[in-house]
Amino acid sequence: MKKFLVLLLFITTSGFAQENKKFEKAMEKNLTLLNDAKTGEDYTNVANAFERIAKAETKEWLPSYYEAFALILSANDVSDGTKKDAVLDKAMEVAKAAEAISPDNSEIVTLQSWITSMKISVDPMNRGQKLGMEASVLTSRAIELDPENPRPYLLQGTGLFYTPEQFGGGKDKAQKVLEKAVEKFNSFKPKNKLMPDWGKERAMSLLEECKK
Amino acid sequence: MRPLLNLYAILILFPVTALSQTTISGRITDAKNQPVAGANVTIKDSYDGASADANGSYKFSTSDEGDVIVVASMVGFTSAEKRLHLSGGEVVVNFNLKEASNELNTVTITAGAFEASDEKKMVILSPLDIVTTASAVGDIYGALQTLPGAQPTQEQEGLFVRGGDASEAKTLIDGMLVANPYFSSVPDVPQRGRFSPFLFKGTNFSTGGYSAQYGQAMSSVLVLESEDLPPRSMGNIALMTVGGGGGYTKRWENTSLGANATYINLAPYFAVMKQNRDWDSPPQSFSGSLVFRQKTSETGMLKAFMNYQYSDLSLNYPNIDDVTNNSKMHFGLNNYNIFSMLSYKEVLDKKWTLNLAGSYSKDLSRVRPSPQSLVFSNQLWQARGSVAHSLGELSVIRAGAEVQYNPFSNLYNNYRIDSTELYSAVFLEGDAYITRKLVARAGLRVENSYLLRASNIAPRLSVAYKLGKYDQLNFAYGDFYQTPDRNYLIQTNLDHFEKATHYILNYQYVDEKRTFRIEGYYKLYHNLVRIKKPVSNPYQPVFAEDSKGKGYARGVDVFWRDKKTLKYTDYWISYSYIDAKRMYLYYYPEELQPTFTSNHIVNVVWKRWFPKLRSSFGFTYAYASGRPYYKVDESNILSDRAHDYHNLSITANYLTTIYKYFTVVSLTVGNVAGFDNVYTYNYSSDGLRRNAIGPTSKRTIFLGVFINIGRDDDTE
Repeated sequence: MKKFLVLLLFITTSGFAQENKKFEKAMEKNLTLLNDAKTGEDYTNVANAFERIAKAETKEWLPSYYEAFALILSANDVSDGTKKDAVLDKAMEVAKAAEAISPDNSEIVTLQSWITSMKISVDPMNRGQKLGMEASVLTSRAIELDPENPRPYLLQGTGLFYTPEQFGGGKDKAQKVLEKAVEKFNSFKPKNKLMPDWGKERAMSLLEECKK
Repeated sequence: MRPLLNLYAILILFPVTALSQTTISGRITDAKNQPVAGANVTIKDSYDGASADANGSYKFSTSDEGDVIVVASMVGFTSAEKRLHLSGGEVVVNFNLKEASNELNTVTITAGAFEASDEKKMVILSPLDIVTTASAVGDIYGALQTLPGAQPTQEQEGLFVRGGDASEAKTLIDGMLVANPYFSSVPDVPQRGRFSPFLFKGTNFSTGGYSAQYGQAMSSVLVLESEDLPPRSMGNIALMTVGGGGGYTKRWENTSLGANATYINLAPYFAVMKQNRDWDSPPQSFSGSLVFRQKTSETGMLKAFMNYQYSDLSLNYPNIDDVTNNSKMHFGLNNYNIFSMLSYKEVLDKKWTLNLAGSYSKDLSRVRPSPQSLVFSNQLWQARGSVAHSLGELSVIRAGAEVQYNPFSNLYNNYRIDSTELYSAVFLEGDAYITRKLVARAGLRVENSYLLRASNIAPRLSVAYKLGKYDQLNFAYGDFYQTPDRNYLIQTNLDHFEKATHYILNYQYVDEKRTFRIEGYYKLYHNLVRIKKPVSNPYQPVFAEDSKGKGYARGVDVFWRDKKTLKYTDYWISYSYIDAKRMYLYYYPEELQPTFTSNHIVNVVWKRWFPKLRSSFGFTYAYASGRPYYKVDESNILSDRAHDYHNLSITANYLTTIYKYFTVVSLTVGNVAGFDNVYTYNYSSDGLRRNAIGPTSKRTIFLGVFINIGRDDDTE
């Protein structure tokens, strides 16, 4: 009996290991696709792939995280305001689903801030003030949750870069924040290869722009 | 040991062993058989699946076997599922996806309504529009007067909608009636609304045919929805040529508390700008408010709002009955106003929405048309509860009840009247979507008035049909009852509610950048109160004669707004034609055109944003054909018309930072072209002399600096 129990334990853990391997493999494959994606269609397809994993793995936050991430990038290609809103609303919904699995996660909150600022672009006149504030609150929260996460600094720097000086933005201010972002990127080591690890190149190229 | 090992081998291999492969392929299309590119097809609970390409085709293989569910999903569509039995080989599964309901494919009820919200995209006016409209100067009612259907009555406050007087338009905040929405009335001096447009996230202005949720308004309801939790803690400072104020709102996780105070004094402004009124003590006012918000759950919100206002002023009027024209009449006013309310909203089980609200308000006015002294006190307690239950995808059924307890007293020198009105109502209403293109809203409202000793049943009906992607037709009908002014309910035999019946036909085209709307209406009035001939002193109680007044209003309202054609430019043009006559009160012994209606009204509102200058400029031009005025001449009382009205106002807003705080500098000049306007005439009691009533000053100038103090720790 004792042997049987040991064996049962062995079997089940091996089963988990198998499952885990399958998950990792699928994630890695799609992360490669995500890195190689160029068009809106590419991003939609990879978002779909992550969605399939997310629906099957209801205890993992990363599939939803990357689905939201890919959806945001796919929205860049959408010109119709109503459609763009629909894609971004879905991205937010997915990001909230990720948050429900992994609460107080700086990476997820960073995505939420990004989605919020993307929503402004659909109707800047009416949404600018309110959503701009919401986005900045979310960025601050992401920094609070993990001060070593470079990505919220990147968002903040990007925001400042595109905000005219008169409204509290400008290259000088952006440069300070982006320098901080690059510094954090340099010391940032993802916990494993599935963890978010994007934005360094963007931060560096934007910093170059600031120095011009 | 051996059998166990075998078992182990089977168990461990089972999840990964590919017994056989099935290839699933097919095409995803929408209702019009067009491909749905980017749709996601997957086997439920597995990673296997594929995206549809530009032709809507997809293909993938799976090692799953047996009974599975294949799901197709796409943003903006309702997901579809199909059961399959997999046993290798090739399977073709096609999906026809149904578009989910959205603003483009689903009809909404729009007859009579102008909705402003920052949550929906395709609205006619947004809250920002209210503050950037030149002629409004930040007043909600001023902005609404640029919409078709509302009359620009310049010598008195209030919304005069489609042939109705100001008492026929009601303002509600989160479902609670605001008994005194404007600063207290002063003869020939129009007053502003009491509340700042920044308190509200949604404005729904209806010029007729509204829902059974609203009663006691024969012409119009203005439904204001207050802001939810602010995104973060912030403060604001306002410095204006007429006064100043400030406030601070603190935000916690699920709670916020804000306090605001404003002091207005027009004395310095009047000292510089010549006034056409003989001010003794220019208007001054103090306002203080508290706003509390508590998020009670993911969908629950508790709101509390309290507003206190004090105002006073005094001025002299020429005594028109004095033939020598040497004496004056003095008029003074002190007003205290409290409006407080508590509301709670929660969504239960996704299908049920519960709204509860309670409110207390008090208005106390001391009016001194010397040598008289009058005190008007009005208290209002109200409670309201409603539930909405959604049926299917879009249809909704709503039911609710409300009670208003209204003690009031009027003191006319030594003569005092006290009374209490108790009003109660229940309503039931359903929005039935026959298809996404056709909706019918049918409702019934039952009301009772204690003082009137009467009840009524008001049916309402609205039908909307979507013609194309952006346009729709809408028809509305309804009976709208109103209890006569409470002052007529004392010592009378009145037993009828005043009644208006609306018929409205509306065509509307709204896309993301342009709106065109044309609405025709016919409105019938019944049982309007007629009063006994007032004594010469206008500050004596008046008594009702009977409920035999009647009238009608018919006309066309046209609205065009375009944000597309000219870069950085947004403009709208509204035109109203109205033919209205009524017999009521004492001054309208037969059906006559009321003094508050112009036959033709045009408004042009233009705004342009100059990004390089960080400024916006705008103007409004208003035209109204001359209104009838009351002449003491028994043969043709209201036959003459005052001159046409013209007004051109301009506004400029400059965005900047002061220290590090976001700041708006705002300048508005009213009647910049200096048109000489005469709104109406006041006659002496013998009808031999008259005074022209024009604006309180030829031009108006407003300059304000508004500073937003946010917690600016983002960059430091």
